[in-house]
Amino acid sequence: MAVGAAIIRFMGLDPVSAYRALVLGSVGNLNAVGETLVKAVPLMFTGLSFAFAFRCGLINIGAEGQLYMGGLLSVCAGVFIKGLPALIHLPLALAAGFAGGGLWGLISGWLKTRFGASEIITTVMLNYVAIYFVSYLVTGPLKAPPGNFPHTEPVAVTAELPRILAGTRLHLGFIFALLAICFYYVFLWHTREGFELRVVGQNTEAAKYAGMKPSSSIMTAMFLAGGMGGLAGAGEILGVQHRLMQAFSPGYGFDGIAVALLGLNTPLGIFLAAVLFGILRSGGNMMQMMVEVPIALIYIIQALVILFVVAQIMAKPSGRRRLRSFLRDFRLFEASGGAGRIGSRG
Amino acid sequence: MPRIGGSIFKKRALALGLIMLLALVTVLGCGGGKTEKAETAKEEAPAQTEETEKPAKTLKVALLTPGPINDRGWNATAYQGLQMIKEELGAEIAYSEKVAPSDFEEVFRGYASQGFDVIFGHGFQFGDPAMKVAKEFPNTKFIITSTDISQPPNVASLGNSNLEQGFVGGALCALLTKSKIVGSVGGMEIPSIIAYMDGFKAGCKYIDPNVKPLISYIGNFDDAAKGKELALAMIQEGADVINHDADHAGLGVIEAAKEKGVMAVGAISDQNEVAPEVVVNSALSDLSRAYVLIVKDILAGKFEAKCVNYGIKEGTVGLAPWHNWEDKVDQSIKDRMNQLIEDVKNGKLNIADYVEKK
Amino acid sequence: MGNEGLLNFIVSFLATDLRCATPILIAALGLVFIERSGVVNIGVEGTMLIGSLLGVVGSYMFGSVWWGVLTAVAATALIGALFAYFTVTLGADQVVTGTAINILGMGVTTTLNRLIFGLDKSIPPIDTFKVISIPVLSKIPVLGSVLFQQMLPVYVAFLLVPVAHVVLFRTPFGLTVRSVGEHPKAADTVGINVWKIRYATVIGGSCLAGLAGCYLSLGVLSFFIENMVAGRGFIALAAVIFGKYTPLGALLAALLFGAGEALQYRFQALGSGIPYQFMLMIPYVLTVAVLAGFVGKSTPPASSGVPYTKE
Repeated sequence: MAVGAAIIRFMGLDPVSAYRALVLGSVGNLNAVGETLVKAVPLMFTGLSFAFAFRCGLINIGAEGQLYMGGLLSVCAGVFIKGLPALIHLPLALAAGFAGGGLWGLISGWLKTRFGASEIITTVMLNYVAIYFVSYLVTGPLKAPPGNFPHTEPVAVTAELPRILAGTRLHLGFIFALLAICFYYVFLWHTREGFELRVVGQNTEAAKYAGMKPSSSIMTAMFLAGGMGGLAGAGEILGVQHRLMQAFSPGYGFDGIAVALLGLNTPLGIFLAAVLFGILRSGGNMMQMMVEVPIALIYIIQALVILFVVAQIMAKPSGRRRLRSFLRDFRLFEASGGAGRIGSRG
Repeated sequence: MPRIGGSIFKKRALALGLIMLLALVTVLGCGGGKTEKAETAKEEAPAQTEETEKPAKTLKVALLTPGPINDRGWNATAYQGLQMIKEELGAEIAYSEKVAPSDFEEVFRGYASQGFDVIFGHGFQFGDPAMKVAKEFPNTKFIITSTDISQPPNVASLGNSNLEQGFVGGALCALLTKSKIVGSVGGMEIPSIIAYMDGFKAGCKYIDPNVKPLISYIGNFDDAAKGKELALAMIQEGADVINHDADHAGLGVIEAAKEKGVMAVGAISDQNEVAPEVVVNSALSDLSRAYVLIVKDILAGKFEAKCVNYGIKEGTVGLAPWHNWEDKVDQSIKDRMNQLIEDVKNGKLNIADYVEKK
Repeated sequence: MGNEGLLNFIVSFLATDLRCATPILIAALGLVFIERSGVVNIGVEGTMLIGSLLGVVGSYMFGSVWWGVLTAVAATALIGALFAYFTVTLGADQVVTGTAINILGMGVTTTLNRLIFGLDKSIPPIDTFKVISIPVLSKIPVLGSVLFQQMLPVYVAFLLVPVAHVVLFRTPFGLTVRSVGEHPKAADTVGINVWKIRYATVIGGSCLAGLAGCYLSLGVLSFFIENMVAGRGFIALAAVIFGKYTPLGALLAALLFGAGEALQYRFQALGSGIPYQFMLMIPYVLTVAVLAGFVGKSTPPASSGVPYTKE
């Protein structure tokens, strides 16, 4: 922390107020907490997306693309289905988002089981395809009339995720994200399918020997992983942005990878890591707004915080041992991500 | 594992040391930044004292841009406008760059709750969140560019005619070409660029219906290498004048012209200095003046919640000086361009007549 | 399209392919060694970005493209050492550290770029790579102008492929690297210093990533802009897996991806009327299709991603 302060001071800015902005902007008041959690919601989903696949020995870098496809389908359900009560419409839109992401994830699962194609590559490549596809749809067929702007119509009010905390933007998606984390735990550790999925992840040969079908576990894992990515997109659209536009995600899908790994792919860990990343994002916004810390410096501070956290976890014998015992058992892993940031212009 | 246990603290110290070192490097770099800042502050100081009619309370103006402020294009003009507001009107300014769509609302609210009087959102996509936040802060004015929205009492917009800008660019390219093939590389399909490309095609058609305009898109505004390759592909197809509307990535297009020795027409700002040997002129679209004008209106109490359009008539769209091309370009071409701009101004020429019907 | 037109098309298509493949290939070759030693480095995108900027800075300050390359390689070696310290010595999670490196790269390059070159519009002229025509060979019809009229980094990239292949599969060092990646414990017991090898591959590989960045900023272009690497680092990672962790495979993957890019540039210029977004998808869809159709399974080294701790 002190390091960042030194940098800020040398930039001719006041480090104390900069850090106060970081803290106030992320947890300082109700609204700030709300903003942090609003950002943590998609990160929890994308973190779960990575984690579901990871537990099955798969590396899903495709949460970003799944997020876009989820957003796409949920916005379709939210815009084109009309006249339903919220009690039906909202779940339907969420389900559409889940299905959109899930099916997108399933493509990678299918390519893996049918052709042995590395899911790492297919998920990375499908990210770009999804982003460009959404870009095509919002500038073409789905463009809101009269057609001046490349975004869809806003979703019907009945499909919006209602705000749950007065005075903040925190929406019902937060509860769904918590439920999803519970689902992650229950499914993997308390159901037969989840058990098989984990066994396949640990040792495919042993799973086969025990009469399990690795390919069906892989499909399940990729569907659930994709679905979680899809829910991230659906939550963002139905809860925050209400319309679909190009480049609507600021890289939540890629941050999800780090969230899952920093959270050691455990339910609680994913929640905490998502909140940490949420703090960095909303606090970063506030630093730029209140103390005029340039965005470049905010990147550096964010990177240093991540390095600091990761070094802390590793340096503690308990954290280190825990992490290693997790990692040792899995035939891991490759990763990548990061479609070039697009959409820097109005 | 005794060895590991013993060295944990050492390792942690080392890790921290490394982070420190890294920070130090940044700090060293930033030391330079500080002096630079001080210098600009000094330069600005006299300008402020000259200002005789200072408003009683310092006006606070904030700006949100979707991309980096140094993109030599769309976002740069907004930043320039903000700087002019500071220098000419003595306002206190702040900005957030590269704001993500999910954060629009939050950043608007953040500035508004800090008591900013005017907040600019530089791009159509800021419209929805601005209208939402504006209801909560009736004393703050929200001004959105590149759109036509308004919401009384406090949301207005600055429309900029990218159609006219593209028309100027297309017409100039069509006048310069010998091969009758010209090209323009766009960033993404967003309203300003779609309008620009429509105008570009219309401009070509107006000058010579036989000129074939090639249009490509990069898909973002960062990938200059891709912009260059797209332009090279156009040159391979026979284009001998190329143009762009892709901000930062458009520099790659100019780079392609440099490499192949064909002429280029810049966009948004005067890009001659990027590569004087190939950039003949630029299709300007400079909203910075409009930024100052609207803030002046606000200071004078003349603010209206409506869309104000800027274009050739208002002087935000047009051509840059010819610089080193003054003598190299035929007088007839220069005359033709001047005439074209005059004709648009006095209404003799209606660009819409030349736009392709969709 | 006449015969001559077709020939022209092929020549320019191949030349574009080589140009697009080069940065991905250089970075991928470095990654092959990193991955083979059991380290996953997704920080390559940020490393390339730092290479791009420092190349321009070096060339700008010292007046020669070689100083630019040297500056870039030195800086990226430092980044590599940082990455290695966290992931090898501290055993920190490689992917999380890589993510941090990417964010750091974005922050450091943006800060330095604005400090050194300011916010104004002019771009300082700098020394860049020149096209070198190889005597005699460049006169070969068709292929000559494609293969032997390129910039130095392009030659370097393609010459490095056989070199990397030989080093990795025919030398004791290559064997050591591979054994560290497959079975670090066994390597340790026969006296190989696992950490040293991993440090070496990570730092060396990062230098190559820096060189790839230099090619973008000093070869393809002659300036730096923020985020100019635009995802090529991640494509390089995919190329390594696609190429089954071999230099030759990485070459094919990079060329395939480059071909997709070259194709879509051409299609866009031709104005087919298909929405451009579908054009932009071509390289990605092509890669997936070829992967599924012809390549199939790619197995990472056994200890990939797992930090090694001496016990």
